[in-house]
Amino acid sequence: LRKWARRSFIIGGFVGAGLLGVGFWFGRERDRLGSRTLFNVRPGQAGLNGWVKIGRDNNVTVAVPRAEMGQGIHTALAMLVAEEMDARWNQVRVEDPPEDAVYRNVDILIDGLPFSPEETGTVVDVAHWVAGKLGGVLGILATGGSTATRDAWLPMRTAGAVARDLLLRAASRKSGIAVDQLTIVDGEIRRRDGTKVATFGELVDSIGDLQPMQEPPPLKKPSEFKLIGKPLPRVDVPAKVMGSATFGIDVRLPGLLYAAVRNAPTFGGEAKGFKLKKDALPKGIEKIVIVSGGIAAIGTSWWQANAFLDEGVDVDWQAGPEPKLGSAGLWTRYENLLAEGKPALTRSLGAENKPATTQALEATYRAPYLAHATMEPMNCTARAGKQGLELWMPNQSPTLMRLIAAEAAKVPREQVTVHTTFLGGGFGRRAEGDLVRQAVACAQATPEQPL
Amino acid sequence: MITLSVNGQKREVDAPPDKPLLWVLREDLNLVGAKFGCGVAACGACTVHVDGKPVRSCSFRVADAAGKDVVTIEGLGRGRLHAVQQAWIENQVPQCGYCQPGFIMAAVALLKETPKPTDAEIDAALTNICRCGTYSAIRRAVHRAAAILGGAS
Repeated sequence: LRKWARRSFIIGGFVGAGLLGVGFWFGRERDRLGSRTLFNVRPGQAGLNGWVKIGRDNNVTVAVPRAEMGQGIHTALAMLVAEEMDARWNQVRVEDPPEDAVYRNVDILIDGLPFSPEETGTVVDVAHWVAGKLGGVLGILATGGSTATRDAWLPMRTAGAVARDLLLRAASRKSGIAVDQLTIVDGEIRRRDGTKVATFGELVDSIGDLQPMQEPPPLKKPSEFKLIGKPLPRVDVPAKVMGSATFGIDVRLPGLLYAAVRNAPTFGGEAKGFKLKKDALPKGIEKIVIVSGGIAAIGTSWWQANAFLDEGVDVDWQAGPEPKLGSAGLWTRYENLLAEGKPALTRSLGAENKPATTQALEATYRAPYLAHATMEPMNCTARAGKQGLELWMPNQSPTLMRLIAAEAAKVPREQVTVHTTFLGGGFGRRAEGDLVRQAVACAQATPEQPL
Repeated sequence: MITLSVNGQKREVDAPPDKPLLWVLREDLNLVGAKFGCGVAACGACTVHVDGKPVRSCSFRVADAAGKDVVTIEGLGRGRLHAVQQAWIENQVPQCGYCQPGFIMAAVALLKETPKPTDAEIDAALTNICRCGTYSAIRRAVHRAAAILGGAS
């Protein structure tokens, strides 16, 4: 309930602020292109725009600012760029870009508006329009609600087309052949007659001061697609099969400590205090810290810290507002709401068309509250220190995690960096920030040491 | 000190004897390919081989691995792609991928015992859990791995 109220409030705020500020225009594809230096450009690489860079090794690296949790989004987004720049699929790599507004997910805000898909009309249209504009302004990075491909469809294809144009101009400058005599086939610049002019890798040093064109070139027609719509090998599969894919729980930093958390046994409960069963902490356990919603043991082994919470600590729990909340009580509440509550949504199926004879059928359907249970346990790696706060975690919204971390650590947002790893399942659970508050509290208890 | 062989290398670890093998691998030896899922030997994400047999390493004391050969996903192909991994890539099995190292280790052990397993034998032997539901792709990949190991190209 609280979550829904919060979401409605945030979205209501967006729409309200937007209605007051009508008259601006953001969210054009070219405004989401990004500069040539934005996307972690390293020696031996050349950035073409914020979404793609090429390397002397002939690799094409695409920025994928959405969380890969098994849905194949790294592959799908890379396809959008590769398609328009005519890259060869096996030269395509992906990388998590830095947090920047060009990587925002505008669609997730539109998707989150509190209207049902059946509702139409001016009010809904205006609300969608405003949310689209404000999503652009606010720059929210998030993955969820099946929005990632919808959101990226035009901006990332545009980025691919702009990159293609830049490569053609670089090849023209290097070879002296007019741009209109050049084309790209299978990741290679060729003359119109098919003779090879250059590979992408050979152009890394020829791009120099060339800039992406201001008015993006036309995009391909669907009938011209070579990659989109084809079943291509996923970019993340080899690492996942070799056991080398880094999930959040696999992050290893020099001097890493581990914290095990015991959450309160009731919803909304807190640890009021604790007593150690023996006077001193055993070797390997460094600290016991009360965190929001629970208590944590910090040490050199998660296994030891976790066992110590059971064996070595007596916790004084303070119950949450509803210590007896359970499934049976929830069903009673739902039934009471059905009987007495105000309808949130009514649907009309159109004019009644009654057959001659009718029979009333009555049935009650119950759908349980589903567990957003991820295979990879919830986890977060954090380091707090003079350089600010750095987090490594499987998450569905680095923007939100950064906000929560900054608030919890009482530092400016600019001092917080969030790295997104592979997610061992998401289900929306990884859009929640409860464990960020806990990780920040632990990290602040062990300054400069990653945990 | 407990001495064991991990992926063909002799390793000495300073750990309590009841520390689970999984946490020795992940914390003491920095081998993070075997995953922590449930912690009670139910999900199989932590499956590794001890003397060629699959074990759920979250519930297997390191002391019981002393003097034995442990193989994890990192050492499975000895620097090359194992036939089961090849079959997994050909069939594009993983989705989120978290449970897959455990499945692959379990499948390798199954194929050693039963070179041509039926669907029913695969289902009975691979009791691991995949939250994405890749079970049918896994079955296809096990049949393909059986064919590769049997000499198919």
